[in-house]
Amino acid sequence: MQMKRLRLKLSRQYEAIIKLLLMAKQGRISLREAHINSADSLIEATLLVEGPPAKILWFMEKARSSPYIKSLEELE
Amino acid sequence: MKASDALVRKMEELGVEVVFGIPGGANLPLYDSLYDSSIRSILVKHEQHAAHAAEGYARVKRRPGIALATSGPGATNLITGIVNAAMDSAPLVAITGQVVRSFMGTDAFQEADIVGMVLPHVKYATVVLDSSRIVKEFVNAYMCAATGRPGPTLIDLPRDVQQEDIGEAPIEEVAADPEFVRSPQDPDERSIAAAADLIARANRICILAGGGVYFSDASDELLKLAEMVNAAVVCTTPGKISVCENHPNVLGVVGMHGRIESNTAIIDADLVICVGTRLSDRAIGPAAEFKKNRKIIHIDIDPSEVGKNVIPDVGIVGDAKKALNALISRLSTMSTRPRYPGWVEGLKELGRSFDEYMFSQTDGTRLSSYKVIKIIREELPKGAIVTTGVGQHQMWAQLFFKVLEPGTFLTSAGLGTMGFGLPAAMGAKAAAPDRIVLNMDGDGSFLMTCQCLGTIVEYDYPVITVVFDNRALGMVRQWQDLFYKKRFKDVDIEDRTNLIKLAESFGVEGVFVESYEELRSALRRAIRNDEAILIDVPIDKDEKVFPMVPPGKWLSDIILPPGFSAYADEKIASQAK
Repeated sequence: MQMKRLRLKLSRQYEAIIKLLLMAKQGRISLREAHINSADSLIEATLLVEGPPAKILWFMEKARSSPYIKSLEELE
Repeated sequence: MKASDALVRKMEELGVEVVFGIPGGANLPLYDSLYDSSIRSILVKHEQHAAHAAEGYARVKRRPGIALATSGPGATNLITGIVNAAMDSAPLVAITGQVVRSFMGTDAFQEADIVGMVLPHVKYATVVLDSSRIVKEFVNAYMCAATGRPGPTLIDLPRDVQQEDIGEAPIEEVAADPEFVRSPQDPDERSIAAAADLIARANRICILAGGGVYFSDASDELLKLAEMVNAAVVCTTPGKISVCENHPNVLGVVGMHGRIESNTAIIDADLVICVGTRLSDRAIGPAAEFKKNRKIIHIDIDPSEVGKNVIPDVGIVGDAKKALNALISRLSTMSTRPRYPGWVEGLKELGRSFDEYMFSQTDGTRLSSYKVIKIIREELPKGAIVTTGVGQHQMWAQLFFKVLEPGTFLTSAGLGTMGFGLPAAMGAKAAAPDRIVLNMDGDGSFLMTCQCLGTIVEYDYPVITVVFDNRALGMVRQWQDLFYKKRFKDVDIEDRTNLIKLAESFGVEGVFVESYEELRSALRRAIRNDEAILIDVPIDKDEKVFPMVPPGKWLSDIILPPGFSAYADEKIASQAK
């Protein structure tokens, strides 16, 4: 199992947050922490996710290819 | 300018020719705008038909199909079709009406949160609350559906947003935002080199083609690679659209109801090159077994697919056409080891024995499905488009119907949606009016969307429908037979629905055939005249689909047609003499 802290910038709409959580659910990874802030024209989210490395990688790739997600970076 | 007028103008500019849907209170402004448009709108009998028809259109044209629905039940009726498009990676844009903004959230009449419902299954969905964004959001949704790995999108338009005046905005200048048209990355050179090394060292190479090969227009490149390295080519169920099955290297569909030679190719291969496929359990069985004893190269446009179900030895993210071209060019500079020259031919021979055996079987009291399919293939022109419903007939079709041109076999693979065939056929006919379109259906599957017959007559989309009529939910019955001790429960349809009269009530000629000659004759007439017809073919409800790999088992656990093993052994012995 692996833990990763991710910082994401999302388009400012409810759908973006919901889709992000749905992707985590589909990937069957655990969401340990989620901080979501609205900032100007975007939403910033910091997630602490836990799961098998392949699943976390899948989640990151899935998120990166979603039009709702403007950027994704690993924090540690 | 009214927002919905602007939307329709943009649709025209993007080349939208046809939309499938049903008007209702919440999308009336959009329909009013369509009144003066060059876009043909097809009034379907149920919104599920609209989504399947849009998918059929999209698959033939390789561009998004458009489905329209009003709010509430109109929108929710689209869901099956939207999820179907997602599972088979087809570009589809759904445009739903919504209650006016001031009523949203009040449980108003015909209010439903369609965006919330489809969000797990779409690439993008949004409610457009600002009328000045209506064109932008459509362009985003349209381009998103078409770009990268294709898939469905949805925009939900409150009625008052549609009818608001947005001034004279320069519609032509509205383009998609960059995040909606993310180009697939170019295949990584190191991965190409690593893949080429694996290929150079392999003895028996099998290429597994998925539906992504078709959408990437990479059929020629795939076959070129196969010829170059003497690979056996097998395909997934959605991948059947991607390859010509009369090519000497192509064996056919693999998986739970795959052909014997295709499953054997995977089992025997020491390298499998998977292209444009998500490697579902239905195609490859348990991932751990698939990985055992063979190297895997996985090429896919969607980076999240590489490693999702099977961790490959080499993953190549990118467009299939580009990746295959890069591989071919790399391999052309390398010396590769000689391969077992007779391997593919041996597999082909196994397939021929299978066909010979099946076609030599004596009929029971009714017609044999695989012989019916053989006749359909013989009678149809090469470029005719075939759709299927879901069930036994679909599996017989994937086993015995040979695709002779890419893009001519449309089926519901991932979701397995009964009722897909007829509306998808209508969409295909809308996309290719000059081609013959034939829907192979089961009686259970056909009756789920049979009202579409009315639409094909009304809009002059002549589709031939052949119903494999066993008065049963045949595939479920087969499972109850094989795995539930023949405890048949709710699978035998004892009603007296007369499919001929049903067809005639919609204005479609119905023909009940009792011999292969009658079938051939009815087909010839319908093809010659390009006319809608329903051909009711009685088949035996005890007829089963073989081969079959039991659920959860590896491909080598295949159940063969009774008697085939002895037949094959005898044939090999006589050839040895």
